Amino acid sequence: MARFAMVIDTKKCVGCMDCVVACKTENNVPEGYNRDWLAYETIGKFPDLHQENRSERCNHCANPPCVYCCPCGASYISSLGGIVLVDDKKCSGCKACIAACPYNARFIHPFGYASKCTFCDHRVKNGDKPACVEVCPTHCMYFGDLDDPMSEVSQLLKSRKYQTLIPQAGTEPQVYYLT
Amino acid sequence: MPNQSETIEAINKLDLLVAIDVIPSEITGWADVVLPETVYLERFDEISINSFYEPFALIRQPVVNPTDEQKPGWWIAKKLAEKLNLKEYFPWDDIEDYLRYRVESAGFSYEEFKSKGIIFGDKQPLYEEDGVEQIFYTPSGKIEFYSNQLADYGFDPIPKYNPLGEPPQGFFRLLFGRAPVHTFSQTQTNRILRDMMDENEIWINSDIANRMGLKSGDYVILQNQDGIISNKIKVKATQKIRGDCVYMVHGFGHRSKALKGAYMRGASDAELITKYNVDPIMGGTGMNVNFVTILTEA
Repeated sequence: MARFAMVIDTKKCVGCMDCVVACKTENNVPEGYNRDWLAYETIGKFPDLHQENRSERCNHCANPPCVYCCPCGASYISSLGGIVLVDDKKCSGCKACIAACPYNARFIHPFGYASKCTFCDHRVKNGDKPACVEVCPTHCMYFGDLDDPMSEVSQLLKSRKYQTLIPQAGTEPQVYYLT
Repeated sequence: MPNQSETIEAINKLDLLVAIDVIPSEITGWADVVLPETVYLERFDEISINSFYEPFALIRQPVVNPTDEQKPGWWIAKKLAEKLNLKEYFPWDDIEDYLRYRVESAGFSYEEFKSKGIIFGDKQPLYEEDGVEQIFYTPSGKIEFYSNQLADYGFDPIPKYNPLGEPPQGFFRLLFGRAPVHTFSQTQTNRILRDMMDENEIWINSDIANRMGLKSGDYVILQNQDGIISNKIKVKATQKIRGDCVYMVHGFGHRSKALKGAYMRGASDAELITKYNVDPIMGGTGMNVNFVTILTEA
């Protein structure tokens, strides 16, 4: 089985939000909701500043609390590269997963079920990249299989320094940020 | 545009103001006649020719039908020309006749151009590295730091820096710029873009904001040196700006009620820019010369 991951180069991200637009249009995300978003972090005092822009989303954790806590079996780890998905027909909208997710990645869709980033599994299935990765004007986002040592994402994690978000939560997030 | 009262005065002196626009922008509210135009996805346009390193020509083609009775710019121009007895300058019925004539006259296939959307020309040498001798259109043929031409016109032959002056006590220099999400003042009603950014913020150095008892998310009102008062605007306390300036993204604070979802959202920098400097040599305008004071909302 493949193990899909996203690698995002914070040194190249300009924080333009094209990834957010792409996601909203590709996945018909309803108004007022987002499956991905930008985090802007400024460290230091003017004029001695360090800025980090991060395109954030569901981390498709290898150890996902949202799946374990789901009383309906709606949240599951897909056989497609370990992508974490929600079966909206099984979801009762109880919000247990929202409480369990340390990344605030989920929301209740106006139709009543939990929704979030799917790594664009409908595109990935056909060998395409997720919409956000596809449109990024600075090419700072990468998507691929970590089980393949020759994949772009594996090579980047081998050669660059990186971090994940809230690693202390023990969720084994699969979105990696090159720093 | 800076100095709204100057623009309004100019509008009031006009016999007729015709606005051609794709959205009900503020200027359409001042116009005697509004001609709604198709957006770029609904129309053909003039061919775009770009003479870069690798020259190319681009064609814009409609991908959707106009939703209502809006018309493309070429149609508006042609019909106006007919009324003004200038018909002979538009010797074609449809824009495609004209486009086909241009493309085929240059020896290219119009059908191929349409299907590919782009025609590339031969690469051309442009730079010194390519062996092209660089010519500067100056009397000496070189880059001139000291210009006799400027001296002859009575200007400083070497441009001199004139300090702009510091903001008065309690005031900040007002800076403006753009956000990657929006294009000028045209896209604030776009529902997807609005969802990401539906108002602008006033950036204030966080040390200064602290001292003033302001925090990110508070709403304030700005007043400029001429007493012009802005719409309310959200504070963004940040270290990304120096203490004597404030900054806002241009394009917000629309006063056209027809711009649903953008009407009165955020503040307008254009309203606060009552003063601008004009470069006496080349006529460029400098608009970062206004000062504002921050009023906490009543």
